[in-house]
Amino acid sequence: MLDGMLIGLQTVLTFHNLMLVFAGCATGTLIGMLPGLGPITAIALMIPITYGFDPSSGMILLAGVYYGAIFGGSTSSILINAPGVAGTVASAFDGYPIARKGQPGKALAIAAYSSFAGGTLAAILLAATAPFLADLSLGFQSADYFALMLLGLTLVSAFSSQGEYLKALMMTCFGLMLSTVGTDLSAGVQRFTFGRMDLIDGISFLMLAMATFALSEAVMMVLKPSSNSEPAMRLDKTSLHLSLPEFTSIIPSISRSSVLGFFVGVLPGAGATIASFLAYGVERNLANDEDRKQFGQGSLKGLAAPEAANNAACTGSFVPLLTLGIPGSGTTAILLGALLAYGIQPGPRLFIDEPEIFWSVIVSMYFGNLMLLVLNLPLIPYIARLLLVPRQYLIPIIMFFSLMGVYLVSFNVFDIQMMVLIAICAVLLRLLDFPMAPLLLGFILGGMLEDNLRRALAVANGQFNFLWERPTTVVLMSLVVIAILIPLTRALWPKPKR
Amino acid sequence: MALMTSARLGGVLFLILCIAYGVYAGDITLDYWSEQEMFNARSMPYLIAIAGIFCAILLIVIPTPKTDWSTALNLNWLPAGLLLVLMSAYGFLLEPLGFVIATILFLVTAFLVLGVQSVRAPLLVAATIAMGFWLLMDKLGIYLAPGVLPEQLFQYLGVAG
Repeated sequence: MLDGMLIGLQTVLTFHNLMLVFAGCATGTLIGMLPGLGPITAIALMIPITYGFDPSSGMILLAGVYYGAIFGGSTSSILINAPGVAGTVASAFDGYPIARKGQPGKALAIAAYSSFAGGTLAAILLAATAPFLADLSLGFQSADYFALMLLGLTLVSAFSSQGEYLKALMMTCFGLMLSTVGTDLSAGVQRFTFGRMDLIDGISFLMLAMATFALSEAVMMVLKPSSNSEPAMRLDKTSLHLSLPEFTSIIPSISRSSVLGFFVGVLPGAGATIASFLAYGVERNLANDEDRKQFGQGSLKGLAAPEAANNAACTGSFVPLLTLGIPGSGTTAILLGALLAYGIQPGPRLFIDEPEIFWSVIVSMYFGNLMLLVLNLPLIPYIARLLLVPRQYLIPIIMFFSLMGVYLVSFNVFDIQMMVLIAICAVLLRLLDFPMAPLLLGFILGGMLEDNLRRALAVANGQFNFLWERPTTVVLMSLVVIAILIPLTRALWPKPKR
Repeated sequence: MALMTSARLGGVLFLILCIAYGVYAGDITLDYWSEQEMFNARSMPYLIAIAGIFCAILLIVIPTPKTDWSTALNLNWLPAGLLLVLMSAYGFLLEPLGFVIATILFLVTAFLVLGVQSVRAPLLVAATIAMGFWLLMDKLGIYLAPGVLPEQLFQYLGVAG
């Protein structure tokens, strides 16, 4: 491993490649900050530029763009509650309330520290465990994936306040319903398209996220002007500073979430989204009663956990990509395309045949995280000034960027109309106190859940005994049952108030 | 009305949605072979519908805290509704008017709806955003069509085409 790290250091520590790491992080951050433009778009836009470079330099640049875009996405999530990518949705739960309390600088600083720590810890873990993890992720079967997805869905209790568990479950079902719209790829039949060509490819995640978070938030700011946005307009200039107790309180959350995020990221198909949601849920469940009340209201741990986890998962997602040639997410699928375009075949032999590419990407991850911290911390007070824009101007601008973010992907005005319709539903549901995050979680996991259930049933000859045949599945399913029963019992038989 | 809490109202709406979804799932067209399979394109929708109906019924029957409906009357419905109509209109006008004109119109009207008094500042902000965004997209190689009406106008004036 040490030899490999030395090869990686030799490759990365040249002026040319360090500049590429810097350029990648800066470009990624800027693109990722625009609501609607996430890492996939950022990397796709940069691939043509990298054709002139050698494969190592190209991958170094793209890895920087990836990290930058994830961090940039967190910025828009925290400041304007507009998560451009699924991986940063969980960051908005507590990041946005902290910003609204007049401490956007602090929220962004926590995001920067947590992302740095998560990414760095994961880069170290990746270097140490990549070969072993490749074997482990190969051992995961459809039944295990199905159980893992189910666990992700049942952890919705993490997003619901006391007594709101059923509402969260209901929204998860709604998200699952929306995920079935479009063509069923296994059978090639259309479902719930109502004969419209525009719905054949299904509802885009981006559109749903923008409509339910950014647009509905903007409309809610108009509906309830007194309770929204005003506190965020006061920018506390000293808010960048984290006190020692605050800093020490988030260290355990960051450490746990980094490790969790990394291992979830290793699993193909799981990625930053599940990692961030899981980390948020775990931290909420581990918190004491006093801390738990803060979740969703501006908890520092609630922001640090998903931020550390999503960056760690990004690093983890490179394991199946570099060692097996399996893309773990949409973003790594684009990176796989880039590797193939360079004439590199990722797989178990990449270690042996192209060690400088493998190790330079790993080393560049560490430098990328360091670069992001150096680049973003001094800029935070300026970025946070975005919230000083008057409400009358900010709301239409958020709406414009949200609509454009979706339109620029499809160039189809039907998506704009659909988005407005979803935003209307989201506003009404929010007024009835239904949480939005479980809807997105159900939508994201719906397709994967169905695919894995179908595959597991096919392997088990249509029998449901796959649920208790493998130890991994049994453990995961037991956790699912616990995750359903505990909050359901609390909802049905609430504790009498003293 | 006292019995109709926000949770119950949501539960009733979701119950209707889940039943409709389940019924419509039965209309998904399957070929002969798919119909013979244990898990086909209808299976997942059926499972979701059953889970949804179960949750909706629980939501309706379990006791939930009372909802104060009077607060709903004090919300700023008019500007919020106008903004939603504006966004929809922006979608309809984007292709005929083109990106720049439609964006300026959308932003200026939205600023005015939200209470900005003068016209000059909104116009300046809207024009800067629309032109700046258009230039950025142009640099990134993303083509935003000028629109049918401006194109015809340019052709009439002999500027393009």
